[in-house]
Amino acid sequence: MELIKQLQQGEPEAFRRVVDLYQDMVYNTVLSIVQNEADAEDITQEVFVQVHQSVKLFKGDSKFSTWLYRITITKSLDSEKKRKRKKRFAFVQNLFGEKEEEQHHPVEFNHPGVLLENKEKADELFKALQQIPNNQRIAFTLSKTEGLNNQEIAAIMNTSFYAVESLLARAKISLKKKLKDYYLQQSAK
Amino acid sequence: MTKDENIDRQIEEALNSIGEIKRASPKPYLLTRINARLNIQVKNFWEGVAVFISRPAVLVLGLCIILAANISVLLLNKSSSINSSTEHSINSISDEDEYSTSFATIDNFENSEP
Repeated sequence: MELIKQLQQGEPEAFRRVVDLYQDMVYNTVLSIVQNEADAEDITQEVFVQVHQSVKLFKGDSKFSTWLYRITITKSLDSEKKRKRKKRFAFVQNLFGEKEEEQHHPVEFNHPGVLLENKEKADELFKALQQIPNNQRIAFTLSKTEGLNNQEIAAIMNTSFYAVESLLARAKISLKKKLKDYYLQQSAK
Repeated sequence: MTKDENIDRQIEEALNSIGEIKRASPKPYLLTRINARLNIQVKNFWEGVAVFISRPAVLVLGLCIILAANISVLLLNKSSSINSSTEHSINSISDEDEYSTSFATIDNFENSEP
């Protein structure tokens, strides 16, 4: 809490320590959501810039990490929305025969923290994650890639413990369905 | 193993594939890049203000506002000076009336004396 007070007073050393302490947490969460390393780097920087600018608004009602997770998730989802909008715009431009300059988001994604023997399966799981509703995806990502418990996820998502339990159960069902479709397609080939 | 069983096994494997996942780390010197971004933002803010002010439309609008303010001040001063001169003349007229009244009272007073 002392560190946060120093950060609120604008001490550069406190900001350095906060970045050191939380950079992996922020980057890993962003990467698991946006599934692109360059975008994740960019969003991580944006998150810390936001922290620097609005830390005075942090009242200490929740844990600092909870507040930071909220900023991280909001920024990641905003970035995804922007990317989708760009994609749609590029599609419309293509329809009118204008030259497409949009950089395609790579389809393949390998999370660097996944064990080598699980890389292929994890890639399929991350693809399926992109296709399920956002709240289910966030709950599942925080649980699996950040190892948070339901109580912590509930605080971050501003919901109840039971709602998180339900979200995780639904996420698993949705993922199973998406993966089944994928494997059925693969076996039909 | 049947086809369905094989698919179920693959699904379970996929779901468990991130069970032992480790946190990913950003590239080194993140703080340096964040600080650079913060500096750019401060610079950009003032640059933005300068660019906004130097826009022809903003310049013309600013000049118009200054002119309008000057004209309104002039007009207000003029009307207030007219008002004050009118008030002055009214006051002087009323003063004269008072004198006449007072003379009348004096006359009446004199007349009333036996």
